[in-house]
Amino acid sequence: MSVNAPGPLGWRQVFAAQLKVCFLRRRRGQAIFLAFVLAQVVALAGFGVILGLNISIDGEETTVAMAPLENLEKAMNVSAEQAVSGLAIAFHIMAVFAFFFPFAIWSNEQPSKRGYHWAMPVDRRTHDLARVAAGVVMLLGMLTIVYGVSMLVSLVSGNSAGLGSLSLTFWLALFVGPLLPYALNSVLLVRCEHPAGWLWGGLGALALISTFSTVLHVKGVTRLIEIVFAGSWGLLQGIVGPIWSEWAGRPTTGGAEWLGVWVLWMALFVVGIVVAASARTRSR
Amino acid sequence: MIIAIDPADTRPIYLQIMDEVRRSVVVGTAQADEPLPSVRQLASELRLNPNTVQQAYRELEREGVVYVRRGRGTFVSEVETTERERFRLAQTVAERALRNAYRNGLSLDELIAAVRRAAEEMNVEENS
Amino acid sequence: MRPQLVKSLNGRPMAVSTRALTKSFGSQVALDRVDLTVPEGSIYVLVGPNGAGKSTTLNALVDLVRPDSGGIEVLGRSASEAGPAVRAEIGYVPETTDFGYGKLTARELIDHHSRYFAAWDAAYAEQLGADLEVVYDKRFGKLSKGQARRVQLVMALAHRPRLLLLDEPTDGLDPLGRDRVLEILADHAASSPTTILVSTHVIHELEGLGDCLGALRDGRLIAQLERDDLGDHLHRVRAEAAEGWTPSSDLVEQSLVRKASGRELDWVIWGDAEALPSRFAHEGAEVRDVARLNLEQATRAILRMEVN
Repeated sequence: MSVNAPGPLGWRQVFAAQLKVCFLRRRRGQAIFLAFVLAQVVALAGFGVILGLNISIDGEETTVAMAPLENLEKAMNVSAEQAVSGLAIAFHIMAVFAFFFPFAIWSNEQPSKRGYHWAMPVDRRTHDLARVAAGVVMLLGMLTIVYGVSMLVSLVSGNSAGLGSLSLTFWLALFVGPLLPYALNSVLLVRCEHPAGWLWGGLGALALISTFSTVLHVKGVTRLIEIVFAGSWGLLQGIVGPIWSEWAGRPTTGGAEWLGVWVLWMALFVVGIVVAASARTRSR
Repeated sequence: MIIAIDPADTRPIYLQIMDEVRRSVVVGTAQADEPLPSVRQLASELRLNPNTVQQAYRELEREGVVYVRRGRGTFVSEVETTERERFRLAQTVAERALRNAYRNGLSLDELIAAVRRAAEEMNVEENS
Repeated sequence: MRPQLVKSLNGRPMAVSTRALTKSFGSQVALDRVDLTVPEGSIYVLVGPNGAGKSTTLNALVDLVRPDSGGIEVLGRSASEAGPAVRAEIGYVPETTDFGYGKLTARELIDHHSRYFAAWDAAYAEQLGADLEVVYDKRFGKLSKGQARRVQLVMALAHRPRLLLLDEPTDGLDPLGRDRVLEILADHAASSPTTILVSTHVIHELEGLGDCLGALRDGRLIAQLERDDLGDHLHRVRAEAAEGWTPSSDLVEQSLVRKASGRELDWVIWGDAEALPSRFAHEGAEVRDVARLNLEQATRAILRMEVN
């Protein structure tokens, strides 16, 4: 068996290695994911069966736990778009999941314990970015499986009527929407020793600022926060734009404009991740 | 040939190896043209730095106790050198005994007398 | 005249060379102007009390820690600028066995590791695994410290790196295991051109292997010299002198450790074996014995000496 000359590693091999190791590190996670997909199948099948019997639903949900949406009831009663609902519900679950996914990617490897990772013959920043990229690929893979299962079940149970009417941006958003929360949290996970702390701290700070400015009647600050997060170019739009406009009937950003919003926020987060990966602090 | 190092001995290790080889030659456990263990073998066996073993073999070659055949190893030279080696060995043993004696405050005469007495008790004949 | 115990070991190419390496963590000084020089092909034993800066030094060499000031050259290149290229030729066994990969089996971890090193020799890795009795199919996180160490050693040695950085390589291993590791290191040194820098508390294990000694204390390099230099010049002198004998300041300066009890003196001093008896005699003490020191004894003396 021949042995090659030593030298630093090319990015392709690094990426492949990181993909494999992320996969291996989360064995239990894989089992949980599979269980989730199964639950999804059951829920959708059940959903289809019930609707096939023409029983109208009062907004009761039997799918896996999710944040309640005020428009869900409306969506259920609007049309025979159960297949789309299946997708949309899965989307919301996955978007939340995507936000927390970086914790899985970087488990037990906060900067003070990332010595092994950084001692490899790869530039530190490149190596961290490769890990983040591997997470993206894994996430897209999971999204594909979840949406694929959803569509399959819908097809099989004869509820796929609505799928054809979805716009391209809807389909795109299904996949790239969750990448925003993933990217956002990745900034924290790459850089911070106690990312959860920063997360809660950040939220707390926002809430505090918001409360104080309301109490002190300083409209500007609360308004600013609102715009940044929920405005027509806000973060929320970037994540859910087309989904909410086509499925929940909300007046949200869609189409080409949405794409612009998404790109803006993604660029911001990518810059954040690169900066985070370039930092050398006391524990790095 | 079995080469052993005494961990308690603080003399340079390469000297100890050399003495061991010489000892084997003198005592007769090493035949002429017998191969010495390779540097790698001896180093790993005795948990030694290969440079140390290398140094010992080099010095032995310089003294003519062993000879080297490129690619084949190190071998014991013709045993005509026994005479010289015995002499050397005796010197080493004597030096050690003298140092020990001095450390314990004994004189040369006291040491010689004690050696003779001990030899008697151990039934070792002179000129044997 | 105080003996100069920190030599720069020049005259040979250096595998590692630091210049005034300084690093602090907050207010804690971890390294203080360290001039470490590790000759190529040597087996350098780095000793020092806990917290002396040994692990920080090793971390600095793989660029896990950036110095506050000073330069680090590893294998002829800057450790920070040429980091990845240099690390491709380094085998590093850190002190810890906990680095977040506990869910992988040993086999998977070694496989993952092997992808990063073009020079990985799979046959050698297998042989090492067998010699070290690696438990392949258990999760790395579930292995005992000794078992984990064995895996780390395979990971470090299998690509035959030009430089091995070993931080307590035998930690957690039982006596047979420790012996086996030493055997493997000796064999490795004999069959691959390599430099080994070992940081350890168990100095007696390296009596046969070590040919350079470096001592750190409170972040400062208080000694660095070749084994032969050490053996030829550092001696334990036992002598007799009248009660209340006071040595000259010159003699005291040359010494590292001084013990006296009644008429007996037990010193560790720097000097030539032939010259010492007369030097003591000159001051009224009669030397009974001048003995060389092994690495362990020398280390203890060096770490005990007063340094200003």
